[in-house]
Amino acid sequence: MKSNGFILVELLVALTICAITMGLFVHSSKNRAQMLILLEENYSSERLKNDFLILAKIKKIDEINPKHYLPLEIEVTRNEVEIKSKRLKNIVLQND
Amino acid sequence: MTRRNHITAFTLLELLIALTLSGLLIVMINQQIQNSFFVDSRYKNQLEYRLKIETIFDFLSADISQSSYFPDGKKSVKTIQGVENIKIIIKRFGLSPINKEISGMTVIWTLGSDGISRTIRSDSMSQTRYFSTKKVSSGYKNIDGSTLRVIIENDDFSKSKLFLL
Repeated sequence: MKSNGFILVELLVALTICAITMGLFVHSSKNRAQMLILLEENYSSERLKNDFLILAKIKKIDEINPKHYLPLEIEVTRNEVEIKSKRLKNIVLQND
Repeated sequence: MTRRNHITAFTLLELLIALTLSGLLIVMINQQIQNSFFVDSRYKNQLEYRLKIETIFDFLSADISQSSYFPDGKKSVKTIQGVENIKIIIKRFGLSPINKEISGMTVIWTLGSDGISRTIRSDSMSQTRYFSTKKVSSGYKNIDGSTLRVIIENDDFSKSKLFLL
């Protein structure tokens, strides 16, 4: 009598496929988070530009609060605002 | 005469390895499923909610930019600080959804303990739309009389936007 069941190699292949599927799932979750952060950074960047233009006219750039533009990292000096985030690096808003 | 059946199936060692790996996989899948529910809820409560706040600022900005003007040239935007919320009252023109005619209307934004809502009042109708029912702390600051800063915050974030009046 001969039983044709799974052999160990087949089982390992199935487990490997399961592990790869789980890995892809984790990866897609991370991508989703990154995409949402990227969108928020874009929104914050546009909001910062709008606020900077208004405050530059009345010469009150120091009213900019960096906490209000997170996850965008910014540095406010007397005359300019520099965006320090990785993706939007080297953007400097200057008061002419 | 003895008859011997030789069955080719899993050996005990193979079975133990398979059971161990299966157990490991079940634990991992269980953790993964629980984690995915937690992460999904976190994304919805934090990241997606913060994006919603950004769009609310855009809606508010559109209302303020379309507001009518007082005789002194300033926009018809009034702010009221309540105990647990603030109200931003904007007078503007808009298209009535009932008779499709342009009419004057009052837009009231309420930000605070009941969430964020926008009420439109005109002679023919009154309608409230809730953008969010989550509690937020809100405030405003008048900078030099012609600039309004609206602040929306909770435990996870703090955002503000400036509007020219």
